[in-house]
Amino acid sequence: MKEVCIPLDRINEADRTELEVKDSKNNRVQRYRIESVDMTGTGDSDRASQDRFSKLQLYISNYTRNWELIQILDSGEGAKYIHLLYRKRN
Amino acid sequence: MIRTEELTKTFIGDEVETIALNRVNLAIDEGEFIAVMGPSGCGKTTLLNIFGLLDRPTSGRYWFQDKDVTNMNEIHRTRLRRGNIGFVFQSFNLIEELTVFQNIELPLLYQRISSGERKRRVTKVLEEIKLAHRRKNFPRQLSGGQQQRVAIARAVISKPQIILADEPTGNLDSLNGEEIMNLLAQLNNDGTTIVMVTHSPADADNAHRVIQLFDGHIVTENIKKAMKAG
Repeated sequence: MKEVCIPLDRINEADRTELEVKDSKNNRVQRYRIESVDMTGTGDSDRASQDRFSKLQLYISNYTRNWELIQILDSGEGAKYIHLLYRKRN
Repeated sequence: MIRTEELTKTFIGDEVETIALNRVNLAIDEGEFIAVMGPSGCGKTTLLNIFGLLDRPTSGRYWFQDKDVTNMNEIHRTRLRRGNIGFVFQSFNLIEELTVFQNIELPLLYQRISSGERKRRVTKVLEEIKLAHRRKNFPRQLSGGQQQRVAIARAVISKPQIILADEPTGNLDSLNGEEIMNLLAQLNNDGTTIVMVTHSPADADNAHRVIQLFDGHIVTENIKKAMKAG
């Protein structure tokens, strides 16, 4: 098994979500984090895409090196928040 | 192997201009295994299509094997594509009317390879993908994983320098998906450059480098592991 899909119920999309996965047989723990990047203020003008990209790039480049960006999650066009999946480096 | 400079692609529809790729600067070395990730609509497939000479950039430059192919005419692009670039698609894209053997043989027919040599090469690759016993079957008689193995065999039969894979495990269960990833990793170990578009972080873990796209821009590049020396 490589991937598992977990329904996240009643979690505010603006909040950080932390997940801890324990492999009990091998006594191994992997930690995951879903961050929300607020895109408010990027507007819907021609510059919106450039603004969203710049904001996201700045957020990712300033993020702590102890965590590795795994995936930029699908959020839909014009979404208020972009969600990022991180994994704690061992 | 591949280099782009300010690569931009725009699509115009219903008077609205959509920027699919926005000034992408990228270099991919021979023997690398690259994963391209990002949300739906971020430009992943457009990038792959330009890499595969199936589409042209609106502006910017693209070098393939040190040749500037940006404005190369269609005849030369087709010639360069055949024998140098192998494609693997999410939906396999096998020809239903042809047998497994005939599907794999097809690229060699375009290259005017002799009948004996074609038979030798297809037989060898069928053994490598462990489908020799299925040579006379039609695609619909195979499982999804087997069909994708045939698609990979067809992609590698003309010994391409690079394989471009668009969501190669997207239509497969986890077991078959893992088999396909092992096959791609093996091809990369044997020296083939691979550029793979994927939504799967687990599949991306096989790559040397993961490129994250967002709204047509490269947001970040993450080196996962070192390339094999030599």
